[in-house]
Amino acid sequence: MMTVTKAADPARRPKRPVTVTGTTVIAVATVLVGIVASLTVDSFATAANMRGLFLSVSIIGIIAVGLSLITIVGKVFTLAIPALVALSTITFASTLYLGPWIALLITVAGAAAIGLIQGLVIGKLETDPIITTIAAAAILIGIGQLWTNGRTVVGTGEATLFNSSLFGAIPFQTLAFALVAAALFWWHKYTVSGRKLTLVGLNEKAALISGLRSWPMVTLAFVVSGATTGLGGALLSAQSGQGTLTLGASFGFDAIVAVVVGGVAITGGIGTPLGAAVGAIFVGLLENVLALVGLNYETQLVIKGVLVLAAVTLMGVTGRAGRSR
Amino acid sequence: MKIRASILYWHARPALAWTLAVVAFLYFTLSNGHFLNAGNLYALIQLFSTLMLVAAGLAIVMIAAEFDLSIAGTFPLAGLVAVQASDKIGVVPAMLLAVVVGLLVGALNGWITGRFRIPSLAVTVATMVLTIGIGFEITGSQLVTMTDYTASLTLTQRVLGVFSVGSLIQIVIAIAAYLFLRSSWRGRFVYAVGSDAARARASGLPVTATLVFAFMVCAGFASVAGALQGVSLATGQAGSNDSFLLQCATAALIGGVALTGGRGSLTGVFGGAFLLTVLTNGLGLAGVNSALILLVNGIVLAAVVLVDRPLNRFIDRRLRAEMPIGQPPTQTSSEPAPTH
Repeated sequence: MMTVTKAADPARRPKRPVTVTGTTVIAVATVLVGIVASLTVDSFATAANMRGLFLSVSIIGIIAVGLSLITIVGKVFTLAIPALVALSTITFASTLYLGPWIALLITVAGAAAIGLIQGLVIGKLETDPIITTIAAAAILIGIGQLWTNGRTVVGTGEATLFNSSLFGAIPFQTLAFALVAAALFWWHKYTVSGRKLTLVGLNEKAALISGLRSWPMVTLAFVVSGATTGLGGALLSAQSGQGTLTLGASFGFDAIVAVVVGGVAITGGIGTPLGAAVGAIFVGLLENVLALVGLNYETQLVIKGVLVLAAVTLMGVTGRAGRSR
Repeated sequence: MKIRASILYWHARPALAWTLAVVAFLYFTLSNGHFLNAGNLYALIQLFSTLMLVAAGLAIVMIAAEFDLSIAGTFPLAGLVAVQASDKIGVVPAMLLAVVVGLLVGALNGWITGRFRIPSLAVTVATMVLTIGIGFEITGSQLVTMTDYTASLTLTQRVLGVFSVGSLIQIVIAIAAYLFLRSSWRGRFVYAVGSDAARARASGLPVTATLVFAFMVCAGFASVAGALQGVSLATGQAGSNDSFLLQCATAALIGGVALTGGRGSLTGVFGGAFLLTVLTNGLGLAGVNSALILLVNGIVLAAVVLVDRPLNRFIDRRLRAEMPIGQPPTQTSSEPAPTH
């Protein structure tokens, strides 16, 4: 891993420890908040609350882990997540009669295909990721509206499988989150293609000079993000067996917050999917505790904004990537 | 002399935007008898003036090679502040307060982006969440309304048949911005910072101050438009306004503002805004549902993005080839980070 980095840009090497601490700080903060909350807030360490916490974190986590790849490959964000989640809930609900697993498969494949199109446009034609995904979001919402006429789609079929708990405590969704996060972390860190993804994000020019084209990696990142977003949407839809355009509206922000707070640098190349997962857990935990303490949704939103601003500024100040201005 | 050809292209972009807009206008005039109604033109100009002003603000930030996502939050927030405060302190002070809030958000955006050299997308995503959150906070997630409708009636009263006080205010500000950007020092700084910030800094231009200025103009325009809209409707609800952000970005891009910065003029942006307004209004009048209009907006933006880059690169390459050796290239088209 280090050799790749060294070959790309020796001057960047000393900055590695800083970013490692970035994710570590959040991990430590997460544990601290958890301990403090379980000691001071009575209703925190109950089984019911823990289950609720796991549930709320899982879907956002799954989406954030996929999104982090887009950030790592240097394409900042996709703003099409809420639209894609909404469309995925509709896809899942309308295909549920085929059986939950088939519906899940269709949803994930469809979302991955949408990711593929965006990835090809952004990678191959080098369009701006933000503008392209804003356009994609509008198109997806438009398609969803035409498809459903703005109505809620109620699925006919059983999706309780995805809401069951394993060993009575771990929700299925949490297991999916853990699996996705572990798989993507492993892929990003220990496979050649994962390392290539990082190199492209770290220094696209160096990658090109060493014979690595950026567009396949960019496309791959968008496909994976599309697939995880589809998975998140399917699991969300499975909770109620329904699909509608307003479902998942907040997931776009939440996933971005998780990625940024989790120590993934917006400039690309720095951070891991695991960081995004930790970020999602931290944000979910903080939300849970704030809600238990009695702060309302509005205040939580403000706190989230401040949190991202602080995280972004801190990353910029400590892990200055030497961008020229 | 060949260089002049490419400069001609950049001047042709606004003309192209306006031509498309006029073609669309003529099409709807011919295909729908009600399109030229004074009532419909009034509605069209109400839409257009708002889009024109906010798109001009966003374009100024884009010319400075940055982007401002937070207008999706600032625009509705200003309306909420104006509506919420007007019952207590009066309409005009409330609108001023809304604009001040917007300017503060802009200053924060610009300062963090310029001072710490952080990509503006990251900063403005944060301030977007923040402003939406503040919007929910001050309204308590409720629909807020004004008790006194006189201000709304004054703002929306027809002037000269098709204008209103509100739309005239916005059009005047937008035109002032155009003149300012074209012929003042500060306006030219925006172009210099956008085309090459490092060189601008090296030659002693106040880069950070210029960025703060650009973001303040953008957020300021968004909050003026938001406050006017809030008071005109006398009501407001917290939330984000993504489709409006979409339209502003589309208008700026159609008008020939380059995402790489340093290029574009506000005349083109106004043309782009006019084209989008005519499309939205005309399709709406023809009974096309709003989802399809959103779809059309998205497709227009996607088309512009797809065409823009290859076209610009082609022009750049022509320009580079025609330049004598030893002269610096004009644009950093080989730069890998287009968003920066």
